[in-house]
Amino acid sequence: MTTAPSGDNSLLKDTISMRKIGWLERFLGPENYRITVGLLKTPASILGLVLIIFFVLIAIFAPLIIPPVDGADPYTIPRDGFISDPQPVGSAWKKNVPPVPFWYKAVTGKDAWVHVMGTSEGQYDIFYGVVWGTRTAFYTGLMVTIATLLMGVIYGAVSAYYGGWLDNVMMRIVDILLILPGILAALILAAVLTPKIGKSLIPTMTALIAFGWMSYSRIIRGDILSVKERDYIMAARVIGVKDSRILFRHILPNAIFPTLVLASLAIGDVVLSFAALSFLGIGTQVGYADWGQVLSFARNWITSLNTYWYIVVFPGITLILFVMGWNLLGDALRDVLDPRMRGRS
Amino acid sequence: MTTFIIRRLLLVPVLLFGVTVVIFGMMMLLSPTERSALYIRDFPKNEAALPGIIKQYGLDDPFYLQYWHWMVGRADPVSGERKGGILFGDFGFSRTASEPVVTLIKDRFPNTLDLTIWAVAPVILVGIWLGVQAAVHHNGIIDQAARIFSIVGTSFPTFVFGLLMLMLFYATLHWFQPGRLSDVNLRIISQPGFNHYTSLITFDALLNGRFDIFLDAIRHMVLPILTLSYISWATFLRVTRSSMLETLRMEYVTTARAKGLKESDVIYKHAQPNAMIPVVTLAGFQVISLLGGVVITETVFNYPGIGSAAARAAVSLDVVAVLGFALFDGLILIVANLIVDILYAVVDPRVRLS
Amino acid sequence: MRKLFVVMSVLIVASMLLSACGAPATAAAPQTIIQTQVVVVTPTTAPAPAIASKDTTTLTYADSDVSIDTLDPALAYDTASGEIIQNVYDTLIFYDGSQAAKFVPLLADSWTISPDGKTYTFKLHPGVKFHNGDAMTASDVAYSFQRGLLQSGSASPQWLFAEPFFGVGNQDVAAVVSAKVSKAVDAQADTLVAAVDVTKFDAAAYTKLFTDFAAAYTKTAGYAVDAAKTLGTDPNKKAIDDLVKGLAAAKDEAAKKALIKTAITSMLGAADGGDPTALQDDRTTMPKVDPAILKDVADMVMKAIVADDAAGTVTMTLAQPWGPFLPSIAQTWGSVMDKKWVASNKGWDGSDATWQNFYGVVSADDPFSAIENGTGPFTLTSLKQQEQYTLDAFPGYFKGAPKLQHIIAKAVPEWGTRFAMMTAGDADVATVPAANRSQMDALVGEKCTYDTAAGAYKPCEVTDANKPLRVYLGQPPIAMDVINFNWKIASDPKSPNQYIGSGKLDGNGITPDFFADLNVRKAFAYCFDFDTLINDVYKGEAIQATGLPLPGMPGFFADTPHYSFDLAKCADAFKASTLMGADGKSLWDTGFRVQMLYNQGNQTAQTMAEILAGSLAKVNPKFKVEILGLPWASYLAAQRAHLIPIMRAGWQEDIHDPHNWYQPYTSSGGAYSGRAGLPKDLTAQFDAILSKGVTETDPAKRAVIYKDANQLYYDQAVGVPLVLPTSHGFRQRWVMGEVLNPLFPGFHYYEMYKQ
Repeated sequence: MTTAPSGDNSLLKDTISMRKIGWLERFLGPENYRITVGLLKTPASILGLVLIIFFVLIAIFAPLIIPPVDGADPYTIPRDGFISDPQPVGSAWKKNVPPVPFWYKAVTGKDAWVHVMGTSEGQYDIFYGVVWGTRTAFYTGLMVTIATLLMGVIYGAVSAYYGGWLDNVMMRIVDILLILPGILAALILAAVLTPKIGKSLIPTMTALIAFGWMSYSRIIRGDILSVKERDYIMAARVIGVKDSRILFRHILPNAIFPTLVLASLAIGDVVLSFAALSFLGIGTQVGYADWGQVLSFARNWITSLNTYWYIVVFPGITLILFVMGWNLLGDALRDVLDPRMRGRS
Repeated sequence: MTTFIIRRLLLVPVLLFGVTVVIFGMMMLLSPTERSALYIRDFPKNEAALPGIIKQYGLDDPFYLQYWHWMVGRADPVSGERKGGILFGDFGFSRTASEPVVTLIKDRFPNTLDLTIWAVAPVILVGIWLGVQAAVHHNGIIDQAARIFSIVGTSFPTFVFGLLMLMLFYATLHWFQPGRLSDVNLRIISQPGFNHYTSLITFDALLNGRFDIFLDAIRHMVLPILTLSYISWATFLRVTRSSMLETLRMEYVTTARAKGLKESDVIYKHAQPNAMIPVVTLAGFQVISLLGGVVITETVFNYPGIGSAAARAAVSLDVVAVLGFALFDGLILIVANLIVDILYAVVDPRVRLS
Repeated sequence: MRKLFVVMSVLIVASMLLSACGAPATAAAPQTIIQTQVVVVTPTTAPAPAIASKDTTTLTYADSDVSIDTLDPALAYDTASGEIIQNVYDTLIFYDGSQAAKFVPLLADSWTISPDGKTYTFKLHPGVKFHNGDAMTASDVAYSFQRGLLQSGSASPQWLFAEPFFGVGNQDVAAVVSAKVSKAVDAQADTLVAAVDVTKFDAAAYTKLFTDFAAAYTKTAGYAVDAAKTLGTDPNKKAIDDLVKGLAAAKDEAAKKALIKTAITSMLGAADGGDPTALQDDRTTMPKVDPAILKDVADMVMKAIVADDAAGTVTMTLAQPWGPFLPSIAQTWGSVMDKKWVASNKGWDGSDATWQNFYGVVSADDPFSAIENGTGPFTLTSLKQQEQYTLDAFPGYFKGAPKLQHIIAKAVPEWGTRFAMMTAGDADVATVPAANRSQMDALVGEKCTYDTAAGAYKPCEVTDANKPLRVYLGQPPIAMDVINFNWKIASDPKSPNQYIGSGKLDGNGITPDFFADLNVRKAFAYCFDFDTLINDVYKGEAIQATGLPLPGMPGFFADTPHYSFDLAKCADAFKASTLMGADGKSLWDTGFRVQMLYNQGNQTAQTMAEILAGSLAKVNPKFKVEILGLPWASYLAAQRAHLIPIMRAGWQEDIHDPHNWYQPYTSSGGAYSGRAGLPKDLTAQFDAILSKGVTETDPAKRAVIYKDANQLYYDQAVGVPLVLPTSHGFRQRWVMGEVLNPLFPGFHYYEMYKQ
């Protein structure tokens, strides 16, 4: 049974949904709005968001959660003596004691500050390292991701926009950098930079940026090339809009969102790469509040895990939850973005 | 097809040039003193001799000149013999290993190759199998479990996972040992009766008819392979799953179902081969990265591959060894990439036509 | 279905947390495994060996690294190389059990010392064979010592022989050659000057004079001096102008000739910097030195060490009596090599005309770096750097074949992996960092403590028959760390030294001569908290060092004056300092800021620095010591460039003798005294005491002499000797028979066996 088209458009109303467009949708554009809403509807991504917000709060309130020792650099984990053996959870804090935080008495009813998560090799307080290390994790993760993203986007956009021989040369350079053996290239660069800059976050960050931007530039280039072919860009061209305006007002905003999603996944990976390089001996000064290092302190004791479980478990779970938060979010984003999944959720 | 291969081959020298420039460029960040290791084996005990050495070997020269000398070597001002020159196969002498870099690579690379060969099946095939299962049972228990498993896998630092494996399977259960081979067999293979046909221990063991040594060698590779697998399954699972889901939704699959084919035939005979195209690329990348050495896994399980040696050279700033390893890795990776590209072209007609 | 996914994620996280909290409950599990394992290998309850190894023929050693510099006994100067050498080569005499300074015959059956203490005659054991089957002769012994002396090189241990054979202060054969070259050149200069007619100034004649001298010098000294460049014929050169002016003003011929001689000498100075050790390690110049001189030096060495093959004796004649000569030849550098084998492997052939081509060889170019042919109980069967090496028993060993058939030493860099190998029983011995001892202590079932009075370990006692490890405790060490001050910190207005802050005493830096102030050094010495170091880092297993000589050697006195931790005295010493701040205020009121450096990765060094910085800040918050880690190469370079204001200087003795301690830290030629910039008058005082002490052979008299050195070291607060950590080593309990001598570079496998 087929219905013949009639004069009123009530049928059309059924086929094309007429819904109200809110300010958010207008602001983000229909595509980005769909993604944002899709994200907030996915339980996995909500869990990811909750985890990340949790870590953001810890990073912001680190000085309240565990205040630094007076006059000391807050990013240096206070040492309670020099004994190598880790001390268990709840052992008393004897030397180099930071001020007792406000919540401690309220929660435990005690006055004496203890090692909440125990101490690691060399009497570095694990709780302090975990809490203040959150800041380092965000700092390094965001800095590296943003820098690689910027480099990749600019490089890819220039390459795709100008095309021709320049595109060819620029993409060959990307090929060359991609062929270098990943973590080894970063390791070499970081190792070479360390004596120049000193042990700090900078050499590792520089190395991860230097060898991390290429895939973004490839993606953004591909996206731009495909967006270029879309009808509205064609239309803009036809009505005589300038090329640069087309690139910055129309092509980039529409091409960049998928790249941003990929980048969010990378934040977790950056923290893992930091831990890996820290394990190999490249990274911050001994005692710097960095999860990779706190976890590296555990390397010598992992095989006696029955006694020293806390030295692996606390920093390990923190790191896993952090990376997992970004991964859950990124995974959900990927599903939402997948054009094949469109209209299914 | 032929043009495609020729184009790829023409690109090889360009890539090689680029890779060497980048690696040498990184080394140029070091001071001339540290770079003097390229030409002289011993660090001069007499500090006063240093400026002379730097001048003698042109370590203050502009980049392109020094790069050129690294390639073709330099004549020793006294004896006149050529020193260095990677184009002549002189990779130099590693100070940290007290050995020529070539010897070091010869010792280590067969182990890496051996591990790569035996790791391919568990790492790649199991990963793909997991992905196919997850796609076939889309949103089912298997799918969800596989995804959680993969997210946890990608969130785990390799060295923690490796040391935990070591604690469980070696220190506690004593099933698998670290290292390359047990002591008894190490002695056997170093004795004259054992022929080294391929210098890959597993294959040599089989060729010599020593099945016990073969099993021993495999046993020592179980933990490294397990660790490598766990961290790379996640990626394979993801890619295979989405590619498979896409393929299963295609019309020809629906047609196949409509024809009344068995579901298993539809999945494994019709859908899977086409879904494998992006997975092949990924597999290629995975094999390539395994060939480059797996730094952390090798360190934890004391597996004498090329990755841990290269990492050690980098951390202790052994310039000669770093350049040698990076160059060798670059070479291997370029060749492997070429092979993968050609294979890919064979598999996917779209590539060779574009 | 997405909900399920989330629920499962949460479950996974929860289970991880749960397992984390629940972990202590499972604590017993691994221990049970160890016990079961023990039960498996000892099925009987007999009192006889409770612990037995699966394979008693092979000993496996899990080391943190296998990095062998060289197997050439004349060149090897690191413990990793020495360990192999000591097992594959033999020396004339060997340590008596665990005694550091008592010796028993090995290749030499007996020896005699002449009454003047200068001539040693060794009677060799007959019928000793090298691994390749060659018979060992007296010529081989003499050749080995001659080869070492002539090969020299500052990276080698040969300075320990150079001093007794060439005279105190001579560290290298190059010094002897240099002296001869100087003498010859002086004579040439005299001849030339005598030939000049100084009555009339003739530019051409002078040019010829200098050119001739330059040519003669080049021929003798081996390297070219360019007359035109150094002094010259260039009329614009100031030197020649001065000479001409001087000649015009000179009164008589003798004065004129003296002026020319001075000019020539200054030309010489410009050529070699006036440095008597200019030839040291210079492998390109040495072969070019006048062959007559080179032959002379070789003949001198060959006359000092003479073999009598018929009688089977070797006679060595020293330049002066030498207290610690026997200890010096008992170490690996006294090993005997096969002359024929060395020559056939492109080594020195023993001729006095060719030795210069082998002078100062470095390990990378030495053909004997990777091969061996000793007379020792083991042969090296394979060596893979950074992986492993294997030793096999030498069945033809002259004292009888060893009990162990194979030794495998593996490089296992990760401590967790080594620990797992020990718990699994796959490793018999392992390198255990001090920081990780507590994990091993938990597995100890047998304890052996050192008896300091007897100088040996007491019989071991079993504390828990089921636990697999044995621990050795309490043996005093042969290595020590000393905090050294830099008296003359390098700083240059153009490139200011970054480690001394502002470079001024303004509260934000120190002056380059800060540590030349005795009170400052004393204050630092009083401010080091030895107890924290001993209790925290060494867990009480160390004693404070009182001076450079170690217990058991002449010159060691338990009551030697020394500094101990005293914050009040530290403050007093700072207040007593007459150093003035930039604004005229005292040091105490101004304060200072300085950086203390350590080599990255050395946690003990970092901790020592932190302890010192902590107490100084306690004394006065204005005293700021910042701690900075540098990679080893940069650290060493900064140290050699005199940039480091305050440093940790570690030394491991080569021989158990006070000379081996005072020489590096205080003498004019010492490695550390040079880097610390000790003033010449102070090193001269030490040199006088040391040469007296080392040439005396009676231990009692030596003790009295070194007492003066101890007093001087304390009075001047030259450095702060830190602590002596005692031994704490682990073995599987089935490893038996081991002789524990602290001077062994590693394990001596000959006496060892497995149960």
